[in-house]
Amino acid sequence: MKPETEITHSVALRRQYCRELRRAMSFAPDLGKRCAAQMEESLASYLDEHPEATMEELNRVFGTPAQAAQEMLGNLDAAQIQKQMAQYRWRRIAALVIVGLVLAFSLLQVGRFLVDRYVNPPIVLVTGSAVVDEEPLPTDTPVN
Amino acid sequence: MGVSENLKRGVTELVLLALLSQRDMYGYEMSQELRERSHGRFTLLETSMYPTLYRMQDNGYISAREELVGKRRKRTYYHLEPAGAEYFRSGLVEYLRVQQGVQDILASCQNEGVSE
Repeated sequence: MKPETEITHSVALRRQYCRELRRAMSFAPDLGKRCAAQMEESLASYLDEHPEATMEELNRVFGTPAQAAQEMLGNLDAAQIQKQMAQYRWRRIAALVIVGLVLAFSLLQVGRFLVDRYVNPPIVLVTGSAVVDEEPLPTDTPVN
Repeated sequence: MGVSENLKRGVTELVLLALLSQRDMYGYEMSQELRERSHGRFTLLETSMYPTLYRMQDNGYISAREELVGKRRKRTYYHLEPAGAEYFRSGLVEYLRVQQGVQDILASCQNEGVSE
């Protein structure tokens, strides 16, 4: 059984590598996620065989995350690139729609506030109120 | 991108199918096999194999299955499907034909160069 420190070292290294790989593949997040999941297993296999490996060694054997992302991009064919671009375009449209909705809602709220405040201020009706006199009613006959 | 890069990209599909025609393999194993079988002359960064593998999977040439390794690690094994075996055979014939053509061109040019 492997010592605890060795396991922690291995997990930390491969997580760091895969995090950087996903970041480098941000142009194709779905592909990056799928690829990083498989790379994590490969890194684990390598680290099982080379428990003393450092990040520099991983970068040498598997390429730096930036190189790995570049290699991956270079091996995409036209259909795969189009698919990634379509996904990217839809993601951008969805983000724009969300930002637009948030802005529209905010503007609506500000507009309503300004109209309520300056154009149609609420009408406040001031009415007289009854005064409750709690003193006992007079019992003596009034003097004419 | 140089000539060697273009050539490498063109034959990546072929060599991966050739490996899978031997037995089911996972990504790391395939990159190790490529290095060993080519005596270090044909090396691929592992990430560059994945677009090719995903494309062949989408085309039905290969299939993938996950196997649990240890307690939590999942390993993806690739398997050559009959359509992939057929595609590999026709690809190999095409590759050898083109390779022979290129060799002929280079040889004839060399011969002409020598005779001049």
